[in-house]
Amino acid sequence: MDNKKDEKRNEALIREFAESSKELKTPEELRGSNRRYIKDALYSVNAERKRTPGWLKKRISVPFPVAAGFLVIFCLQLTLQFINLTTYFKTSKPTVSDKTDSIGLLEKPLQLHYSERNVYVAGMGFVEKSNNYAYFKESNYESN
Amino acid sequence: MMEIVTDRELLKKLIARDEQAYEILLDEYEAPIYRFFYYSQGNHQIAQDQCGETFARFVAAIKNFKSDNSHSLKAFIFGIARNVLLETLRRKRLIQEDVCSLEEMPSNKPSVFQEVSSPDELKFVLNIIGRFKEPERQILLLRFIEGLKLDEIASIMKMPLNSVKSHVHRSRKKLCEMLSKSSSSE
Repeated sequence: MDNKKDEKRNEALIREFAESSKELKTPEELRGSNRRYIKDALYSVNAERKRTPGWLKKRISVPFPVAAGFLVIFCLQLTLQFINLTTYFKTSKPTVSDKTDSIGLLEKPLQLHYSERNVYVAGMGFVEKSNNYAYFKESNYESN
Repeated sequence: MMEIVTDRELLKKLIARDEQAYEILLDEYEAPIYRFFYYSQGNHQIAQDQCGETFARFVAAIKNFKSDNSHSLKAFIFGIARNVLLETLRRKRLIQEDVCSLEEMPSNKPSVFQEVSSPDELKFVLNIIGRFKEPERQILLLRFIEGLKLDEIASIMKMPLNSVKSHVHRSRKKLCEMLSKSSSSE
């Protein structure tokens, strides 16, 4: 019972103390200075936002080892691609054929031949020109 | 519940940097923040500067406030105020000094004591608070004067809830003893 009474009394004392502490009023000059502080802060935040570049101009920081690693990988990729291209062109020339004919003998390689046909009329010059590319087996070509 | 809803509405406007919302914020939190600083150090000039610094930091930090967390805007702003206070204390090496040892800076303007309706009461409050050491002083201010919840105090003070509870219990006991002593002596 006494405990409850004490508790109530203590509560009342604390409440009274809190009310007394709130007697402290905010000085007028503080109101002005706080508004100035907020205005300045808002201005600088807005200025910062304007200064922030768009995503096209945005810069990001990348650690040097990562950047160097990427550069090395990129250069390697380029070199490998170049090597691949040169070997492709070298191997794609129709000079060598692994095909065999029906008898099992190695077929003669196909060869690219170029032919040109010009029709010339005296006094008029060339009236028709045609160029042709054709692949022939060497034997066929010879027979033709 | 109502407070949370109002807080959220206010928060949206604060993030949008609406000047009117900042006016509302000042009306609501200017006095509690000033009291917090003044009772922590007993110096009007320093409290005024810290108050401005707190609001300036609030403008920059408001975008980091998570409205989904259980803590209120009040706890957020008091958290900033506490950081400002600790920085000043660290800078001026006042952390172990009593409030009573601090004196008002000389000024032509009327002192805080002259402005309040009952200067004796204010002196009494300052005297009582001055007898508390950190962090109990801050807990006393936040809990018994500003009426913050225990979990809010824990987040402001960056302390476990149980430590806050024991600090609150201890400071409450001490405060009651002081208050009852002073009331019986009157």
